[in-house]
Order: sequence, then C-alpha cells, then structure tokens
Amino acid sequence: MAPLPYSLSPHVCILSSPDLESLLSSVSLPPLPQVLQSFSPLPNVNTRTTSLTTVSHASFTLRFSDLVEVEAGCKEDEEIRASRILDWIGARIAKRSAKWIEDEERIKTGESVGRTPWWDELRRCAEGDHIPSRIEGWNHPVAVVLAVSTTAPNPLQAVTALHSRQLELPPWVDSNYLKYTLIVHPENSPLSDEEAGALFNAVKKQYGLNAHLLPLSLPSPPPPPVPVPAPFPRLPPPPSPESLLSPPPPIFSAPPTPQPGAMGSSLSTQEMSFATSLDGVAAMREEESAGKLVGNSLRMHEKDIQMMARFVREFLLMSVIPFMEKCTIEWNESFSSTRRLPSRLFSSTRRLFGSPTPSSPGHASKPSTSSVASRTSISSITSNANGTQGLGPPSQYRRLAEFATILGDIKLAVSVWESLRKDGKGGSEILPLLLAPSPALALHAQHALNTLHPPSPDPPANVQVRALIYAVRWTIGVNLQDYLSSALEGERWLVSSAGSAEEPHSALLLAHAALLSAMKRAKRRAALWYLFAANRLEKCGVRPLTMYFLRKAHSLYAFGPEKNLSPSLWDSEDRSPTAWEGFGDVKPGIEHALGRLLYTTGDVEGAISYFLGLLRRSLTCYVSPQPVLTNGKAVESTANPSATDRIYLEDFRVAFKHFLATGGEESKIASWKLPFSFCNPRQTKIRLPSQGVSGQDNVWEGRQTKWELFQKSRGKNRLENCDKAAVNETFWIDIELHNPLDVEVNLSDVTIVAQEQQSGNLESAKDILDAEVIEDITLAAKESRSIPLALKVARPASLIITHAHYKFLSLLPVTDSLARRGRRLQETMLQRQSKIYAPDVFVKFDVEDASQRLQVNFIDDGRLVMAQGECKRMKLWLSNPGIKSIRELWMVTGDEDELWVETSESFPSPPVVSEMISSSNSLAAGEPLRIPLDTLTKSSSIEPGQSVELTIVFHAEKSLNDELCLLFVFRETEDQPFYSARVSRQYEVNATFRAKATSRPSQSPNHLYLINLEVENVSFYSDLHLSQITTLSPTWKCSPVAAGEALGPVHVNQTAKFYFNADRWEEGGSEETLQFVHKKLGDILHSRSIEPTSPPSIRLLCNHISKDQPRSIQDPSIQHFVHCSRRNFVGRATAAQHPYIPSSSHPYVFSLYNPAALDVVIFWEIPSQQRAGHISVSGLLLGAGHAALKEVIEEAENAKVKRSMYAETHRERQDILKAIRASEWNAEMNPVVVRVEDGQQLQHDFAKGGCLKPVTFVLRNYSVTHPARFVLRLKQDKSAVHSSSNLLPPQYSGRLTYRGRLEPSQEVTVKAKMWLNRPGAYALTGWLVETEVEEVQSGQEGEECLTRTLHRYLQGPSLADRSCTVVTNVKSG
Amino acid sequence: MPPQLRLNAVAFISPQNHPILIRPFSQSKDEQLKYHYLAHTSLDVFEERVNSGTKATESYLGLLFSMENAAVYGYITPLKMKIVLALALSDVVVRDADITTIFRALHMAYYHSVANPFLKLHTALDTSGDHSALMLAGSPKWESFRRRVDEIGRAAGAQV
Repeated sequence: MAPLPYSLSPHVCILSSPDLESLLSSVSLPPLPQVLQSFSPLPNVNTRTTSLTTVSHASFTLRFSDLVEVEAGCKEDEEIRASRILDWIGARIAKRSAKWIEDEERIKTGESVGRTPWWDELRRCAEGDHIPSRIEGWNHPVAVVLAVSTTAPNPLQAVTALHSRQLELPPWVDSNYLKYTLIVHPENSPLSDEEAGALFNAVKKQYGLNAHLLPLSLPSPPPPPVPVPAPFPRLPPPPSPESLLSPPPPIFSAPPTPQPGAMGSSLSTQEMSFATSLDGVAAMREEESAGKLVGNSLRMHEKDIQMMARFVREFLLMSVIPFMEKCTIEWNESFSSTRRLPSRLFSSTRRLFGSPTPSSPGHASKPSTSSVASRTSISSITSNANGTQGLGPPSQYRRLAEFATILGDIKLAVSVWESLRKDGKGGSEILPLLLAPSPALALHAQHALNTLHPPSPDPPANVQVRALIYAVRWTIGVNLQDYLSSALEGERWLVSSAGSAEEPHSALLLAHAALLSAMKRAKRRAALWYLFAANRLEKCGVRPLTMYFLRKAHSLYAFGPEKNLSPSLWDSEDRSPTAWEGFGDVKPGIEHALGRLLYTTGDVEGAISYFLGLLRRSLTCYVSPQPVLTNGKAVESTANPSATDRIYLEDFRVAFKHFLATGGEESKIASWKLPFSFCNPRQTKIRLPSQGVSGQDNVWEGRQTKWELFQKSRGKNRLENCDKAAVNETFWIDIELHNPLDVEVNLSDVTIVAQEQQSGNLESAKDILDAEVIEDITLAAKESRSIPLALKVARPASLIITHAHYKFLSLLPVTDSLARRGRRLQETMLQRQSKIYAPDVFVKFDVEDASQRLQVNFIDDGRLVMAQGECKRMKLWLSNPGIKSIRELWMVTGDEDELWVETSESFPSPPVVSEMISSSNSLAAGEPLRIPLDTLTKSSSIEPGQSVELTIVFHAEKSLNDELCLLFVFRETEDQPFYSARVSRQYEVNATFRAKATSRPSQSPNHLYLINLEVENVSFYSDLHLSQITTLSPTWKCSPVAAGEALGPVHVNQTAKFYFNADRWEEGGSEETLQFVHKKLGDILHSRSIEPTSPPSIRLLCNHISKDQPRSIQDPSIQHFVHCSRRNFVGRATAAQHPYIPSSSHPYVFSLYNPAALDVVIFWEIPSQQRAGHISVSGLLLGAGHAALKEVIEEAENAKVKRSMYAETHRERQDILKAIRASEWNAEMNPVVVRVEDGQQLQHDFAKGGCLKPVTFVLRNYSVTHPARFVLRLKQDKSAVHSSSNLLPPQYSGRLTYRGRLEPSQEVTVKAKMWLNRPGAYALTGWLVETEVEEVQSGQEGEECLTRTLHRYLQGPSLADRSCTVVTNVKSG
Repeated sequence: MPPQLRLNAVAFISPQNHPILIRPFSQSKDEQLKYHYLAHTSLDVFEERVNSGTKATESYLGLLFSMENAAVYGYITPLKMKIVLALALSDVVVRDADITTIFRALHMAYYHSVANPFLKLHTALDTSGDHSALMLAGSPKWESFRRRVDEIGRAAGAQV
C-alpha cells in the first residue's frame, strides 16, 4: 500500500505564548509549527491495532499548525474560503507557469516520472489545507500543544494562561483532542536548568503527564542553515481592512516550491542517516556559495535539532499514538456492540423498502444492462450528508474510521468506512486508498464525487475544492501502477473530479489525467484531455501552460499509434508509413487554438505557419455536415465548413498583415508554403494563334493526314509542325486554377515562370520571356477556372514552363509547380515491382523566327446560315506577317466539303438544251486545292506584309450544323518545307427542297421509261423559285413530257411535279465501267489484291429544262459541285452497303456513275435575296440487269474454301458475298415488260351474236444486252379473274400461245383475239408470259453462236391490273 | 425501440483508423467537433479492449466510456471496421440488445454502401489496397451511405 497522503495525518495545533514567538524570531527561526513541521514525517513508528497487533510505519506524518490560524479559518464561511482557495491556486499557477514551462522544456523529466511542476504545485496546495471541514474530520485537531518558553517573565503563569484560554473552535469541530504542554528552555533563559526542571514538574503536576521540557541552545549568531522540506503552501488569511494597508506577514508568503530532489527528506530522517544530511548540507553550502537561493532551511544548531527531533518523536509515540489508540479501542467497542448486527438488518430493510440509499457500488457487471450512472438518487443523499454532518461534530464512527486509517488498522478502518458508506455518510473517497485494486474502486471514486454534488456545469467552489482534494489524495494514496491499471483507470477519476469547472485547477487535473494516459500509451485520450485542459486554461488566461498543453496535444495527435508492424506491410499495402492522416478535424482544432495563442503572445511567425497549415485539405476524411431539411429531403448544407475556412483564412490574413506591418523578416516569407496548390498542371496548355481556331483536334489531324498522303504521292517536302510560336508574336498559356477552399479567395500578380532549354541545361528565361501578369483574380469557393496568360518571346528559344507564381490573398507569394508526374514505368521487372515514374512532364514550347507565316481569316466572321444546296460565296483574307514571301499555297478541305475557289475567269455558257460532259468517274476524294496565286496577285506570291483576298464558294447539301475547317499549307519555294495555317467557321444549313424521283416503264410505245420528279418546298423561304432542272446520265436521254410549266416559284409546303421520258443513249462508253467494276468485285471475291487503278472516264448526257436560258453544267464550279455531291452520295451509300471493304479502296473498286444511273440536278434561286443554289437527286437506276456477277459469285461460293480457324473470318466472307450479291452491280430482273393496250371502246350489236375482237399485247425487252425468248399463253379459265373485280372475265379464242424471240431493246406486238358474247367491261387479264433470258456466247467467226439460258421468269397481270376493254351493245340497222 | 434513447452521433472508422464517416446529429459546430474528438479517443479504448487478450468473439464492445454528457458505445466488425455511437447521457436504462440492433443496422448500411461497384470508379489504378476504396463510401459524392445512416439515426431517436 502506498503511504497515506499528507492530509490524512494527525493534525496538531500549536498555541504558543508571545514570549516563545519573540524568542524564535530573535534567533531567526520560523514560528514553532513550522519548525516542528520540519521534523515530520517520522521514520519507523509502530502502532497497535484494536486486536493489539503491531503495525509498523516506515514513516509517519504529523501536521503542525498554528491554532490561532485554524480558529480564524474555521470562522470564515466555507464557501467563501473555498472560492478563495481556488483563486489562490489559480494565481499561484499563473504566476509560475512561465518559469515551469521554461524548466520543463529544458529538463523534460515530467513525462517519464509522471510528475510535472504544476501538478506538484496543485497537489501541495490541495494537501496543505489544514482548516477543519464540516464534511470530514481529517483536519480536526488531534492534539493541541500549548507552548511557552522559560524566557517569559513568569513561565508558570504563561502556561496557566494558555491552559485557561478557551479554544475558539466552532461546535462542529471535534472537541476530542489531546492537550499537551511544551516548555522551551533556551540557553539564554533567565531560568537555570534546575528552575526549568522545577517548572516542568509543577506543570506536570498541575496539567497531567502530557508535557515536555525542551532545552535548546539557540546560539545568538544563528548557525548555518540546514535544509528542511518545504512546508506545504497554505492559504493566506482573508485580507482584513488593516492587512490591505500593510504587506502580509512574511511567514505566510508562499514558500518556494522545492526542487523535486528535496522532496520527502526531513530532519528526522536526516538524523537517522547522518551521512546523507551532511551531503545535503555540503551540497547546499556549495550552492549557497554559488549565490543561489536554495529551498527551505532552518538555522538551528545540530544539538538543538536532535533535541527537537527527540521531542517530536516522544510527543508522537508517548502521547499522540496512545491517545489515538485509546480512542480507537473505545469507539470500536461501541461501534461493534451497537452497530454490527442491527445495522445490517436495518440497511437490508431499507433496501427492501426503497429508501433513498445509494445503490451499492459493487462492480456493475449485469450482463444485459450497460450502466449509465443514475443521478436521481444522488442529490438527496448529498443534502442528507450535508445536513447531518454540518451541524454537530463529526460522528464518532467517522473519527474512528479516520483514526484507524491513520494508525494503519486497515481492517477496522475498511469495515467502518464501509458501514459509513452504506449509511450515506461518506467513506467512498477513502476506500480506494485502503482497498486492494479492483474495478469497484472506480465506482467508489465515482460515488464519492457524485455524493459531493450532482454533476452540473457550475458546481460551488466548496465542492470543487473537495473534489480536487479527493483527486489529489487518490493520486498519492494509490500506487501508480495500480492507479493506471485498466481495472482502476485512475486518470478517469481525475477527469471526473475536474468536472466542468473552468478553473485552473480543473485544467491541471485534466492535464495530469492526460499525462497519466500518455504513460498508459493511450495517446488519443491524452491528446483529448490536454486539449480540454488547454481550453479551460485559456479561459483563465494562463497562456504559457495553455500553449504547452496544446503543443502536447498536437504532438500526441500527430504521432499516431505505434504499432509493431512488419516493415514489408507498407509495401504490400502500397502505403507509406508516414502517410497516416487520421481525423482531419481534430488537428485543425488544436492548431487553430495554438496559432491564435501564438499570435496573441506575439509570436506572429509561428502563428502564421499554424494558420497556413490549417488550410490543408484532407483527402480522405469525410465529415458529414448537418443536413438541412427541405421538403422532407435532406440537403447538405455547406455553411459549416465554409465557416471554418473563413475563420482560418481571416486569422491568417490578420496575422500576415500584422507581420508585414511590423516589418517581419523577408527570409521567413520564403519558408511559408501553402499546404495545397491552386494550379492544376494537367490542364495547363499552350495556345498558339495558329491554333486559336475552334474545330476538333481530330478534324485537324485528318486534314494534316490528308495533306501528308497527298504529299507522299508527290514525294515532296514535309509539313513543318505548326505548334511553334513566333518571335514577338503573342500567344497564350492557359493555366487552370482550382480553389480547394470553401471560401472565396483572391490571388494577385498571377504569372508564370519559364526556363530556357539550351543544350540540355536550363537557364532562366526571364530576359526573353514577357509574360502577362494578372493583377487580381477572385476565385469563388471550390471554383475551377482556366486563366489565359499572354506570352511573348524575344528570340527563338525552347522554353519550359516550370512554375506559376502568384500572391495568395495578395499577401503571401506562392510558387506552384506546373510539373505533372510522368507515367508509371512498367518496362522492367524492377519497375513493375515498385512504383517508378517517368520524369516529370512540363509544358514545353518552341519559339522560332517568323520567317514563314500566314494568317487566314474570314472577312465575314459571323455564323454562316445557308440554305440547302446554296452556293455561298465567302471571302478569305490571307496576310503574310512573316518575313519571307509565299509562293505556293494549298487549301486542304474535308473529304465531304464542297468548295470551289473562284477565280476571275468567267466561263461563257452557250444556251443549250442538252450537252455532254465528261466525268472522271472516280470516287476518289478531292485533292488539296492549289490556290492560283498568279490570278490573285500580280507577283504570283504573297509578299511579307501583303494581304490577299480569296473568294471561295461553299456548297452544302445536307442540312446540319457543322464547322468548316480549312487547312492552308504554304511555302516559299520548292525546296523549302511546308507550313500550315488554319481557319474555321461554324455553319448551319437549312433545308429547302425535298425531291423524289421515281421511274416506271413508259406506256408510250415511243419511250422506254417515264421519270416522275416531285419537288416539295420544305423550307421557310416563301419565294423559292425553281430555275432549272437538269438530268444527267451515262446511258439515258431524258426529254420533258411537258416543257417547264412547273418551273417558277414554289411556295412553302407546295409540290411541283415534272415528268420526263427516258430513252437509251448509247454514246457514253459505259461498257468499260461495267467491266471495271465487275473485275474488281471479282478480285475481292477471290481475295485477290486490288490494283490501285481508277475506273475509266465516262461521258454524261445532260438535258436541261429551264424557263430562260439554261445554265450549262459545264461551268467548272457547277460541274465540281455536281461531281462532289454525287461522290458524297455514292460514297455514303457504298460505305453503308459494303462495310467490309475498306473505304480507302472504294475509289479503286467502284465507279462514281453506275451506267444505269440517272441523276437530277435541281437549280433554285431566291431572287429577293439574290441567292441561288442547286441540289442533286441521285439513286435512280434505269434498265434491266442480269445478275452480271452471278458466275463470279457462284465460283467464289463453290471454290474450295480455305479453312479459316476463325469463325469471324468466315462470317465476314459470307457478309461480303451477301453484300455484293445484293449490290446494284448484280441487279437481276425480268427484262420483258408486257403491255396490254387497254381502254378500247367497242360497239357491237349483240343481237347478231358474239364477236371476236383483237387484243394487242406489246412485249418489250428492256435489256440492252441480252435477247429473250418468250411464250405468251392466253387462258380461258374463267376463275382466273379476281373475284372481287366486277369486270367480265376475258375469253380468248383462236391462237392461245405465241412464241417469239426479242433481241435487246426489241419490241414485239402480239395480236390475240377475244370472244365477246355480251356487252360489258372485259378485263384484259388471263395471260401468262414465260421469259427465258439468253446469253449469246459469240463463237469463232463462221461458227454458230451458242446460246445459253440465263434466267427464266414467269409473269402475269398484276392483281391490281384494271385494264379492260369496254363493249357496248348497239343496235345496228 | 424505447423513445427515450437519443442518438447524438455516429462514427465509422476504418481498420486503418481513418474516419470514414462522422455523423453528428446536432446543430452547433462545437458539438460536432466534439464528436470527432470522441470518435478519435474511442480508438484508444478499442485498442485496449481488443488487445486485452480476451476472446474477441463478439463484435459489440458495450459502453466504451462516458464523457461529459455522452455515453460512447463501440462495435468492431470482424474486419476491424469500428463503429462508434454516442448516446445522450440520461437516466433511462440502456439495453444492450437495443444498442446491438442499432449497430447491426449501421454495419449493414456500411456493408451495402461498400458493395457499390462504382465506388472505385475514379480511384487511381495504382492504389492496390482495397481500403482506400472502402473509405470512399463516406465521401460526399456518395449520398446513399449517409442517407442510410440518417435513417437509422432517425429510427434510433436522433434529431435529424
């Protein structure tokens, strides 16, 4: 068991006579209580228990105090005194804290020992309280020593006076004490030793045996001081009106706190171990000679010390202990006789009937109930305890328990304390000191605190002092190991006793709890309690300690838990052992308080660095702010975090401004770094004027690829990269700034820092780079913004942009790196095993001399709105800002863009109705267009500084929104590389006409087909005019059925219809085209490589209808646009139909015009707006085909297929075959068209009987290549007529079968006969034509031609056929 | 569920002792910060209880400590994820069964939220450990977790 605390020791009050006081002060000794106190504790004291067993105490403490002081203290109101104690403690702590912190930081011992100077101070202040209390009896005097000296004029009278003095103690102080008489006999006394002995005997005779004669030498020049333990600090008396004027007596001034090493030594122990005392004296002398003031000391002679020690020992052993033992035995008898059995019965009855007894604080380990301390029962007990104990003296049992405790009779003490506790009369606070450590002790302690006062935010001072005293006793009286053990968790007791009072003592209690927790390695708890302690101390204004506690909390928090982990864990988890972030909100809470304290104490620099750290953003800690309820749905409010950020930022701003205003060191500023970066390096990019056009990157890449392909075919110079800036040309860098804070911030003087790369070295590019500085940017909370900075470079160089530079809040200069981490390397094993990244990537750019430059702009830069098919003239402004002239200029357009460069040459168009044009018949996309500079300028070059206007015509047939992207490629001379410039413009195309062309075999014998063209105005243009319609075909010649009446205005939603007769035109040279395509498709089917040959050219016949003079299609621009739109149409159709044939080889497989194709071009104009344009209608195929690819396909199908291991390959081949079979090149149909001449109106007199009438069948072979045999069979079957028809069934008679052969394009008329037996409408159905298409294989000359049947067809009248012959009955004659 | 029970805060803490979600059900800012401290401090108790050598068969650790006006209860999942509840200190008897029910519900809420395959959508590819993704469940981007926790909190008498 740990020794009992100092305050649990016998309290001895001393009443000394005035002569003794003056004697002591004359030899510069302190008052008697203080002298005697120096001899406590006493070593090796034996006491006896009630069962008469001996208990030996290694040391036994006695407390001596001045009776007058105690009497005065008892008179003071307890509550006032308690609050005075608290203030006094606070003042002492505040006064010394700075010094303590200095020492603590120098020595750093407190941690390991578990003691800190402030805790010692608090402990001593609490323990030093010696005024009797109403609640407990420890401070009630056990003995009163009446001390006189023989220097008194009449010593005996002095003794009598002291004895006759009534003690002015209040009635509640225990009156059961020992009276003792002490006579001090100094050497210089007027009484001789014998006289003194006689006096002593007289006193003994008169006042009993409790008396002592103490002869002292007390030499007049005081001997050298002897160190003694410092007395415990005691509360100074309340300031009386007189004492306010005079300084307090020196004895009550706070004695200095001894060094930890001096604690616990006393004069009596010194007497026993003389050597150590000599050492101590020697050490003290040394220190004294060094001019240092050492702790407490007594200037007493060696002999006097021995005499004094003997007296104290005798007093204790002969008087105090026997007195206490006697009391104990007496009281114990009454306790055991009256108390034991009935009390148990009584308490159990009470328990049964539920009187307000506190629940037994046994260990609450009920399995299904978590103990949440009950409060209701406590308050009543408190009042009870206070009420019963406040009036009278402390109960005999309590004194018994206290005496037994002091005497070491633990068994008795525990039993009495237990019974007291059960009666609700205290005891819980002492039991933890006496009992063996168990979890029950924690409950005792808790109960003791709860009994004092129910937990409340502001308990009375009295309660706080008691709680403090309890806590201090527990820390002293319980062994530290036990105290910290998990069963006791003593540090929690401290926290409970600290309560919620905002006083220094409670802060120090928390701090001590924190210290103990840290010793227990419960660092988080320690940090929390340090923080709480700091918060309370801050309110009391004790700054040095507050800061110390905050620092402790911070460091405890920052270290995190120590764990014995394998070093390879971090590798396997892929984390850094230092990358522990923890609770994001805890650290700022500490740091902010610390920073503010530093600022208020004048350490502005430290404060600034803390405030900066506060702005750190945690990546992983997600705090759920309080949701705000709106319409029943929780919406996260952003108010809370922004509030903290704003506070931090404001504090930082204020501190930094103060720093600047007070002229802080410049070097400090450089060391402050923002804990985050505003710049997002990944979004940093250079924007050159040449790239300052819109348009997607892939579009521009496509243009460049097109140019490169074109160039490759010509084998000429390369295209220089255009991503170089020119000297003295303004270009831009876009840096993205992201504000991670929840509050608006401003950045000023934003600019970038670049370095020049010169043969591997980096040099500052300050002198050549002129970077824009943006004065001020305000970023809203969490905002990201891209900021363009204009740059200009003075000479050609290669620059790397390394940093962005700005002033945070216009105060702190910050440099953010613009490097971004290189990609992760995975090449070697080593790289794969660990994380290795390529070097950082910076934004680089080259600046070159502006030798070859071209700027291209649209003169009209607005949004382009076009009508579908409109030919829009646009002007481009080409200027040469470089220093060399441009002699060669090309324009690269998209594959589907229809553009024409207009030159001054005009094309004379003779008015013709039909004309013939030649087409390259190639699907190949247009090549880059060389701009004829010779027609634009006189010198056929653009000289430096010169500008040229270029007119281009743009034609778009699809209604859409798109962007026109033009790449201009240029150079000076043949041997120089090409450079490029870009220009783009948005455009929008609105629909004008919806046109549809259909064809059917013509009913007219003179024409083969009838073409029906319907043109509907679907635009919102009201005055849209059709000006001309042109048909184009390699094999068909069109003539309008009715010439051009429908031309002219077509109103909105109106339709104009046109009819054309189409006939064969044999001069186009279509045969070669067919052969070309067939061969190429055959190559594909046989998996042969396709030769890059283009189809042969083809001639097209154009027929115009127009109101006025028709425009010639031979105008190069029109011909170009017609070609382009046909190419776009065919290109799209082919790509859709043959997805497996790569589109790059389409020009080498397919031709632009299928020989059977017929295109219509519709010219329109809007006269009011002087706009004109044309749209093409494609997709019409005329004429019969005979599966020209049938054999090739069959061959390919039946060929021994190379087995492919991939099902995909096989499927792909099947798909290719299917696509080709279904293509227009393999069209197959019945070439023979049967036409029955209907609509005849006959008259016949049926009275004369029936008649035979002729029926004419016209059979025409639409095939232009193959002859066909036919068999026309006429049926007499009546059921052949459709039942729903009301026509009469035909009845053919005579020859019913006709056979014949039709040469290509030949027409045959078959005249059959029909028998009419009554008037009516006779359907002209009931016929059947069998057709056999023949192929003539031309044999050798002179041999007979071999014919082969290719296809067979069977056709009859269609179900909807309503052709008929009407016969009416007329009466003849 | 007895209506007197009042839930003040819920905290989810990862096995690596990172806070995943701290959800205080109170209005004042200081109060909210307090629950951060409480959650952080409760880790000490978790460590003490787990390291105390007794067989850790049960996830529910019971009352960890009580401080000022809050009673703190703990729960540790088999995968060492920790859940901390702060109840308002009152005179009512708190039944362990109730607390365990709340803890189970909270655990399931976390489990469901972490099962979201899209949590890892935007995490860097070279973080191999799973825990970083699991941490994301509490991120402001993923609302479902917090919604679930709020629902449980409401059921347990929190003033949401």
